[in-house]
Amino acid sequence: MSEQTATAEHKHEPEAHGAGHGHEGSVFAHARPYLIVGVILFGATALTVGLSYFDFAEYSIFRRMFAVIGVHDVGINILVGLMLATCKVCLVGWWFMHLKQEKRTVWRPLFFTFFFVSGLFLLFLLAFSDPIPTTSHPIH
Amino acid sequence: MEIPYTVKPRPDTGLANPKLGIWLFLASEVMLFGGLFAGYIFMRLSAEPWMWPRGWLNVPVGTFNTFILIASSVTIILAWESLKMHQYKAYKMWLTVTWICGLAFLGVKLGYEWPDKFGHFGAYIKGDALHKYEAFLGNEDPKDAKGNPILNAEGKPEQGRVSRNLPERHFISGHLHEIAGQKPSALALATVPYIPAKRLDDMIGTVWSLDDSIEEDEKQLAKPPEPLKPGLSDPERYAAEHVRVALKQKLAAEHATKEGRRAHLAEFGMTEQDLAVLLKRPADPRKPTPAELEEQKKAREAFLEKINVIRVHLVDPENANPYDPDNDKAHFWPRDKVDVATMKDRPHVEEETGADGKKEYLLVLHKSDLLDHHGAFTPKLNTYLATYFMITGLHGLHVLGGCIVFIYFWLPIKGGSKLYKTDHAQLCNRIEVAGLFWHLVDLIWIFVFPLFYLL
Repeated sequence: MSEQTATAEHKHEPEAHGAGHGHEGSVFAHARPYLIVGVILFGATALTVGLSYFDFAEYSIFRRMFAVIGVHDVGINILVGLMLATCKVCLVGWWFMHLKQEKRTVWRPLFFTFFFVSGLFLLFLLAFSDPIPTTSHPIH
Repeated sequence: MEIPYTVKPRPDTGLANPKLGIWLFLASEVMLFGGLFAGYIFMRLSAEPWMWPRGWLNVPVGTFNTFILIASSVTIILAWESLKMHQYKAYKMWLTVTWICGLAFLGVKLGYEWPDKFGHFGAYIKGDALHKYEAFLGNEDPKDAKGNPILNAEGKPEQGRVSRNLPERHFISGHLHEIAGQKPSALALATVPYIPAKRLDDMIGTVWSLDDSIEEDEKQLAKPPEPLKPGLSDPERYAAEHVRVALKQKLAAEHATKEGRRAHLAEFGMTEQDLAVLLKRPADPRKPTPAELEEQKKAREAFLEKINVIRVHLVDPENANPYDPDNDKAHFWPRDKVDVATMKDRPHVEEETGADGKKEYLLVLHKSDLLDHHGAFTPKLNTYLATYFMITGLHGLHVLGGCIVFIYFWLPIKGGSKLYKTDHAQLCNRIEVAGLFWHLVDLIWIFVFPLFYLL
């Protein structure tokens, strides 16, 4: 919708066209990319459900691969699920929310949002390690 | 006063004000839900895998709701495109489909998913009482009523958690039936669990039959209330006041007759004879013999045991599997390892005939000293349910808000669809901004679904 809206709306002044006169052509033709994205999202949802029944931690190749970034056990499934969800979210944002044609004024606050939310999400790595070793006191 | 830049872009920002406003709002929403999701993931990963509930939510229903929200995201785009193309009928139709999808989503949540949780019951058994409920916890190797091992499809003995080197499970679940000990006390009998042991001793021997009990109660109420003794602790003061309130209650219509009291006793699984034993008067009340005291003590313990229980429908005998290493998946997975017919012979199981004439099996949980904590599947039961209800509730409020806005635009009112004729560009802008909010609602659910339903 984006910046295009304002300009588009100037082209589509209701007074100029009259409320009852529709434009030529099917809305589906205009909205074809959105329909395709919708179908992809349906497919990705089915894939998410399917992958949830697959235990990545059972296979050594995945265990080794994710151990490099410090993720183990059920964390692997969670990370894969989140990555897939992030891809879906990007599709929604890029196409449905028209971020692909949005102005810098919109992108700027979103960049900070992305930065801080990413930081929050990475906090879960703390669940696998104690980053403050000085908290243990073996000798008193 | 006309609000400036509601449609045309502001020269300095290059955006119309509503557009910039909604994006800033969405950014704050992302931060809000991002923090909640991060907290949830942190807790999920910090818990031992076997401790975290899995399979409690209905995946097909959750998937259906996901499809509904994605479809509504597409239809709101179609509505907006139709509006831009001056196809009014198509616009109205797609907008209608959008808010119907939103309401359908809420309908599934409020009509099925949440109420389904309220009908379930869970209890955490204390470690030293695990053996009493072993048949339902699956820690030991399962045995039938005669003590023989239950064989699997290959003819080998089925193994419990310990034999499989899996951690013990302390959690037991089923369909909520009744919490006897939490009923409001209509009879003084039902106040027994609240009365300190010393006070109970005072009561024993004061009444010894139902007829006498009514007469005794009337006498007690006829007396002016005695002033409370000084120096009573809070529980003692509460008990003393509570007994008098209970006396008044039990003389109300349904408990003022012998039949009424007999029926009430039956609710606690007691007969008049049980009561007579419990309240048997010693030959010389001033000098009870040790044998009489022992008999009183046993009768009282047996009574407390009877009254202080929770009765729940047996652990989903049709569906749940107590030997599942992950969890019992109440509802969706057939239980094929346990012979349901032998359940009635197990300890802590009562057989009842339901209203439809079918036999039902109830599991009796003794809450006095064997349960850690218990309750319906509500936020108080555990962290998982607390976060589930909080996040899905917050998301549901967003869905409701979106639906209200869409219905407002849909209605033939000044700020709604009438705007199509008076200010088409304004309506386009409104639908665009509301659409952006709706996409965020969809986007949040895209994270909620895998986190809560699948992982």
